[in-house]
Amino acid sequence: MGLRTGIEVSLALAEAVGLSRADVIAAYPITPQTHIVEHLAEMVAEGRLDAEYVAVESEHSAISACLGSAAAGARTFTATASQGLAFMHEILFIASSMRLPLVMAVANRTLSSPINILADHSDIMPERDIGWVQLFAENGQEAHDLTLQAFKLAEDSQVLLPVLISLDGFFLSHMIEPVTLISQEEADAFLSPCTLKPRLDPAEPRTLGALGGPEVYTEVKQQQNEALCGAVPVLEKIWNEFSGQFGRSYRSLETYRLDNAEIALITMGAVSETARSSVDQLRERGIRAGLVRIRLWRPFPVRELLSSLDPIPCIAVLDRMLSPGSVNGPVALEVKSAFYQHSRQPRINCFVAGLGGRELSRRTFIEMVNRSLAGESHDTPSIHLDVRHA
Amino acid sequence: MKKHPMLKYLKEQGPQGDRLPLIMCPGCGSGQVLNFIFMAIDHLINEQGYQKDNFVFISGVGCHARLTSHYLNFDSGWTIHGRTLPIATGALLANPELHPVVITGDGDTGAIGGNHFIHACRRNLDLTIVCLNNKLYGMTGGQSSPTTLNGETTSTNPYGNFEADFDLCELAKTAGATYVARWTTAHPTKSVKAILKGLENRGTSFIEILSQCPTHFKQSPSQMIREYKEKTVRLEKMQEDDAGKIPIGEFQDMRKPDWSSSYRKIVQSVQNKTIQD
Repeated sequence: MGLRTGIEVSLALAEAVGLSRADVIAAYPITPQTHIVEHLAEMVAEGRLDAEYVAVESEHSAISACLGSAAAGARTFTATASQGLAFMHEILFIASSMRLPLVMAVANRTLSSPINILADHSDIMPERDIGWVQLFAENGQEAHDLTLQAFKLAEDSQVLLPVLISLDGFFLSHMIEPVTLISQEEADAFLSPCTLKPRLDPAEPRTLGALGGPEVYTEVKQQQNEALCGAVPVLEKIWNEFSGQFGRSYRSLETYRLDNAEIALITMGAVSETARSSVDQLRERGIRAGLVRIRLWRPFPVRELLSSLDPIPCIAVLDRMLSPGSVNGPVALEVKSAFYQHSRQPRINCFVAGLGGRELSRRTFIEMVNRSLAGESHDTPSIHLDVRHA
Repeated sequence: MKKHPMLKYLKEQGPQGDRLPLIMCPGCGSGQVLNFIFMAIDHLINEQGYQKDNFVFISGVGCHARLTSHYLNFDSGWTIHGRTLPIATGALLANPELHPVVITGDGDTGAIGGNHFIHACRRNLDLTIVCLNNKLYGMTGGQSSPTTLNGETTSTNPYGNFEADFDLCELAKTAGATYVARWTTAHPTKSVKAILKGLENRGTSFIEILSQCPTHFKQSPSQMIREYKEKTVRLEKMQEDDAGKIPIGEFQDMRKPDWSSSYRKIVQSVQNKTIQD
């Protein structure tokens, strides 16, 4: 058994990259991701991790270096946040369409302007169509475990896709939490050494990313989508195996007190722990609330979502991003789409809150529940909580 | 209490200026450089009739950027990491009467914005770049930057930087900047004069000021400023045994048409031709 210890979540994640025996790490400093790669730089410098650490000149270069490294068959990792992720944007699509298995941690932070270094999901949500497997961690243990699982998933011959792990900046990345650290022996038993067949191999020359006109482009994109959707059964198999070895079970979404619920909250990320305690508080008051926390954001787990929410009549979705000009935030849009033409039509409200690090407390979730149960209609636009008017 | 003469250029003015003390760590060089910039601009406004409203300050991301966003009572923009120069270029082209002053850092200019840096110099745009070089990424916790000297210890190079460093002044000079100088926070008068000369130069001016980061180098500010005296050598006095010392002084001071003049010239020549036709 691994050691249960108090550790900063960024460091727990970095330790998992070390346990995965990553070969190449390329990164550029950006708050609040920095502690992850700083710790990795230290591990490499101290000889604890036999990897190449490349301190590049921008995030665009970081992800590009990772592309090259993964193409050469190396186990590859990077981490970023906010503007750094936005700056990587064009390369993120290339990593997935070239089917390059690399792993990235994103310490979610909002986007400029105004400049703000604190957490929301404004950075990651605009990247939802990049074709990566996207996971959201709720706590330090999960950030640690998901990282090891991510390498196994990315490199599976049925998948060969990049995987990213989101963790809320500061509210999760900088917390010191009790984490059962996996031992190197356990990690090695779970994740075998990198045996990726180098895409770039002098013995077998080929061109990556060559021209693909209208006669093939559609088919390439279809295949990519098939591969992404096909990652789900592989991920479930990996989660089963992980649970067998470590006793910690993972699913595409977590549910809490949904039995007999009259309303379900839907959340993502670290704030779900607060939401869970709000559910307890509401239940004590006689309001039958429950929670669905989405862990697997891409591919979106429609089937699991629909079955876990059956037969709850009312749903309150938290979106930590304001999607300007859109009907709702990205999470609510996804949930509403899942229910479209479904035999059962619950009331679904989208609540936009917790932007730019504004605190989400139990009060927020209780307000979401109260307003939803009071009958605010699901065809109204998003409800913006906690907006202070001058 | 006597007011500091440069307080009038700060955003808010209390007895000591509401924005004082600065947000910077104790002993940081950024406040000194801000003062140098103010003194140069004060001279231009009082002695040469420059209009305060014609100055526009642009900064990227890093410790230096706090100067622009938090303190200046001028038109200013705190923009995106590395993108100072395209934004300043846009402002200048839209209104050639402006004096864009780009406050930037070694990471902002030498790494993520390196491409824009060389192209601004190549175009010889009429703008002034003041680069606070503290030789690391201060705001994110002291990682190596492209100007971290070989062998120097940072949070990403705990056993010393094994990469070569950029000489930003040589880079600016080679790329085509028409006024290039390097001074340090231990050379206040020279720094002010260089910024002044840069602002007066009709073309791209690059002034690098070595600015101490006592927080991340874990040294006392006074020791670091002393080293700026001891470990630098005037460019024109450099000897062979000065290898390892940092050259300071003017790297370039030449006249050549700036972008706007060249542009106007070609517009005029085409218009004249059209009229003749």
